[in-house]
Amino acid sequence: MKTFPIQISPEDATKELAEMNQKVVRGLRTLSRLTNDDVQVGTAPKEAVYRDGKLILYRHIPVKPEAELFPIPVLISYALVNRPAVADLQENRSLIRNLVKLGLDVYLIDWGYPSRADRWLSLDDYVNGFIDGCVDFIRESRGLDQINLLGICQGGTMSLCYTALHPEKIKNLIVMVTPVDFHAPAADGAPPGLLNVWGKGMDVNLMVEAMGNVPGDLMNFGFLMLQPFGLNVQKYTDVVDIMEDEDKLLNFLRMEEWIFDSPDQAGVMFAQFVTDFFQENKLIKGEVQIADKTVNLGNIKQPVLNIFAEKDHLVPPPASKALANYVGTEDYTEVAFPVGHIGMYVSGKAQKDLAPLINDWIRAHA
Amino acid sequence: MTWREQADSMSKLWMDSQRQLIANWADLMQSGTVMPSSMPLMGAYPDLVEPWRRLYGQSMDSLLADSSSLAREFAQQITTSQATMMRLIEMTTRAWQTMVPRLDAGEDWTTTLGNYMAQVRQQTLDQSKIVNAAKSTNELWVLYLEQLQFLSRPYIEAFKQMPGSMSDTLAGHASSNQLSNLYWTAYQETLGRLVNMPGFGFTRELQQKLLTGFGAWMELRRASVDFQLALATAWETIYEKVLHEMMVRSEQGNPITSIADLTRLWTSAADQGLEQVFRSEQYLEAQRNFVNAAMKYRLHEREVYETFAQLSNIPTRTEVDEAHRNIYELRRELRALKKQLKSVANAATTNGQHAEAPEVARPVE
Repeated sequence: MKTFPIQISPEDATKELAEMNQKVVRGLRTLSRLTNDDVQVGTAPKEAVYRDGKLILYRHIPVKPEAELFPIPVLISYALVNRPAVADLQENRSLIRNLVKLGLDVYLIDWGYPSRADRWLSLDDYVNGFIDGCVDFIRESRGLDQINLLGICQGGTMSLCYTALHPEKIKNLIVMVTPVDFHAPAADGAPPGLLNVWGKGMDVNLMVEAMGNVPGDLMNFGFLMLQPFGLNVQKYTDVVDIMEDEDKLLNFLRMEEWIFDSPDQAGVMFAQFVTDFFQENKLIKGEVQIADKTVNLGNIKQPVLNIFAEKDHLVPPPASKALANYVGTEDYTEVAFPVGHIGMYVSGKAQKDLAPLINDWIRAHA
Repeated sequence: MTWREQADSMSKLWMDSQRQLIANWADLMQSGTVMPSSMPLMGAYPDLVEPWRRLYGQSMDSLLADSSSLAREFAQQITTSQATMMRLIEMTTRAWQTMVPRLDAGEDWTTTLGNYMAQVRQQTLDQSKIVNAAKSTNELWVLYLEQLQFLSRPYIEAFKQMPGSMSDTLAGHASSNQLSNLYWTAYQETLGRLVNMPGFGFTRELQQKLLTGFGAWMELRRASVDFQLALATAWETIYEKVLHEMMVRSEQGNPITSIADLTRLWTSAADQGLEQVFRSEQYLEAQRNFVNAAMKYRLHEREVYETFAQLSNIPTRTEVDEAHRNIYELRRELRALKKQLKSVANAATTNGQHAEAPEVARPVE
């Protein structure tokens, strides 16, 4: 006879539940000592140097003397979905702090929180307006013809568009976990991610017409629905095990703070991005039109470093690696990290190796 | 011990564990500085999850009264996930209690599972919000039609048929389309025809907006029912996946030995089952239709609201959007002009002429 599928003894169940209760109580005592200030993210010292609308360009305060800084700054362009603080979650989990420690001069674009008044912002505004404004500000203030550009996720896709349209202003291009081929299958031959499947059928222009901007909460709901039980139940069941440990609890809470800090998406930009990139995959077809120009990835002739995550379920590796087939440069480097999309910012491996990789590559392409 | 005895034992274990959980929690709270404001009964409770959840929530509120908002929100999330975990265990227990007598009687487990899933489908649909939503829809419809008496007769006929059709649909004897079509046919016979008729009198524009808005509302209700039926199907798939996984583990001699193990199996199997449903054409179509219908209704709703806003001298969404768009376009022009001026100034400087470069980058104050 087969074994009955559930073999939990009353003694074990009682013990397990009692332990769980005790963990929760001890965890709550830890939690009660924490304040909102303890879970602030994006706290690496920085100064605002330029503004355009809601955009703020920050320069991170160097820890080395100015004379010892690498002379060509790095501008970081993050995605519009979520906030760039993931690159600076806390002191010991911060790509930005690590880059600064290595002597790079780091600038960061903070896109801000679009309001209904920003509904009309388009891909043209983000690429030829905002990014170009930041690049020009840095070039002029530093007396340089070119700077380095580091694009992350959707910010990487925009950086590719920008570099293809303004190649003369970019010395080196680095892209991280960046989607290029939006219809690429997952690495193991599985079908494309659920976001792509859902995105294909959506009438985004109708959504934008009805809502103006696309609410950040709606975007978050979409992300949570990718794994409803894992992300809404199991995650908070598992956290009970680490609640007593203040450091681990703070790590968890800072990540929560980042995850649920989701700006609304400017309507026109959202519709363009979903239609042109997700639905019609125009980037690799050379069909993306920004203002009156076509984005041709073949125009990217400067050195390119493409960093992707091997276990990325949001941007599967083939979606990033496709870049090799379309850029015009002969100096193209691809580096894989054995982590997931978020692990690229917070994993031990990334903390140890990512910033040195970028630093070494930039200095080798001075 | 037979499977039936084991299932009964598991059910008792579950009830005892929940009581233990509550008692243990209460002890912990009493030993600390916090005393919950009310205690649940310790006797037999038909549903122990909700009392536990209330007690848990009260304790957390007391413990974290002076804590940050983040801590309170987080604690609430923990409470919800723990309650969900308990609910999942409860559902599992009920499933086995129903299935085990058949298994003990020698029925093949795949047949037993199939029969049980048929029951689940019935129960899920009977008890789900779909029925409640449909009932409230019915009430809304009646209210609406009372105001439009001359148009109400075909709908009343439709409502008379609805309970039968709903039962057939939920029992699996009729497709969800039949239910939707019931609404749709009634609409086509009445307001649907009128939407394209010319209006009359000074209220014709408002009439037209109300009628087209009503059509959009009808479409949304239909899409909503279809979407919720698709979600109910998802639950059925989840249940089947979880129970199937348990059977496989049973066959492999690898039973579940802890509550944590059981929760992990649920979440893993459930997410796999959901992904399967989320990729299905039926779900995608229902989701797409529901979102599109919701957006269209929102636009129609705005038109009606704006009519009343205009009568009250209140700026409308459309007017504010127009103002925003004008500001946006002016800012674009300004940015373009600054760039042109800068180019001109740079060219003049290069040619040795004096020209004052405009300030392109606005410094931070």
